[in-house]
Amino acid sequence: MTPRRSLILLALFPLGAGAVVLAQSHARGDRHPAPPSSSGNIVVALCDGETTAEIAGVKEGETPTSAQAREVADRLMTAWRQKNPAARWEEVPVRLAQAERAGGTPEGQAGAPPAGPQGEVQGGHTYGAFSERDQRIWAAETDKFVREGRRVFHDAKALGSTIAVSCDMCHPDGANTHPETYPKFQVQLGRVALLRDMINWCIQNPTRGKPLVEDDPRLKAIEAYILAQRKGTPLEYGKH
Amino acid sequence: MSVQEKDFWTERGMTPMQRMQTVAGLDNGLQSRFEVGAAGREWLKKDLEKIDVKTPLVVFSHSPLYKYYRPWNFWTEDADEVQAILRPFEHVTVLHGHTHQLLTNRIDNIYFHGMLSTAWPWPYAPEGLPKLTIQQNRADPFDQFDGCGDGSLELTGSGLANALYNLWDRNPVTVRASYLASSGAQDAPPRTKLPSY
Repeated sequence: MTPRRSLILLALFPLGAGAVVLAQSHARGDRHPAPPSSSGNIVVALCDGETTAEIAGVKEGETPTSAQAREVADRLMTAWRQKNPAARWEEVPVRLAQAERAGGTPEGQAGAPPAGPQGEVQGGHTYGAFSERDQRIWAAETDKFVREGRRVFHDAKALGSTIAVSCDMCHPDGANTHPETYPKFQVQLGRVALLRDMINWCIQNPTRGKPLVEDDPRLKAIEAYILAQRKGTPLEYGKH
Repeated sequence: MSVQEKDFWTERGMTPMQRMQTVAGLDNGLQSRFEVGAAGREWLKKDLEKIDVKTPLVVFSHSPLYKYYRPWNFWTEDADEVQAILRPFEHVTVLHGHTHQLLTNRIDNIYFHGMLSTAWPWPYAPEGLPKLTIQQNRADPFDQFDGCGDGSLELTGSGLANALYNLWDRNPVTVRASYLASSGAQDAPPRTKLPSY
């Protein structure tokens, strides 16, 4: 019987220091077959779908040390660079914040990063390089999610009510849902509850439906809508 | 006082159940705002012409005859005009339904008392009243009839009314005429222990 192989995917991001993220995936749809090792060592595949490397002395089912993982990641990175000499690779070094003194002399000892032109806004990282357009897209996606929550909140059938009652009938505009007070001890339940516990309580009781499982998209969307309705309200968990 | 609304159901082909579901949802915006309407106001004006202004008036209405919160239709669109008709009278008491909560308001000579509901208590609107002084304790969602109740008006010799809010699952609350007449200085009803969030 062939032993089941787990696959370690290496995701290489063109970041400043050539950061390497090691992630293990068990999702069937994400599995990329890697050639087996004759010695039974773990085989690590690069995200190009071609390049692979073994971790010497670490068998399938064992966990490599951080140093071993780092070593194989560097080896794969080197291999990828050799295969793709013309690929554009942003070699921006990580820059540490380096405050200048009033006299203009950089603070710190020899070996500190040189104080070059910094510009007015901190940069040098993908996360800070998103544009306003990106943010508009994110806002639109978030609004879409919230709107879906509003739809379910107002739709007895969608949330599974058996008596045509929907959330908005007691909570117009999400009123009196106070998501900012959770988690809190819900005295009627005799335990600490999250907002989703109360949503499910309402679905079961006033609307006489079946409780939604925790990762049900409807439950997530309702949560999103309720939270969106209380934007700006300070969080005050445990409040009664 | 009869209030009217515009037909939102015929053109949409709604069943009676769908129509009631729509009305039960305050924030869907499908229901038009209530209004007494020109004919209703004309009738009221004529009806009151023959009455001395010192006569205490008690007006019954479905919706509050003032503008509380339009997005939820806690509202009467032509309330200002209706109040103008009632203004010459010394003491006017309006008893209204629709808002499903302990709710009292005074605008000059007109004292408004909302009735509790026998089902479906509603939260206070986020804005609209000049100042929310004493709220009803918030209802326990695990208690089916909490926040529900009935009530009565006791007309006093002064022509004003004490309003009794007979909450079924809690102690009753009386909002006395003297509380309103003194703008909150006297005879305050029991204060709120658990206000709205």
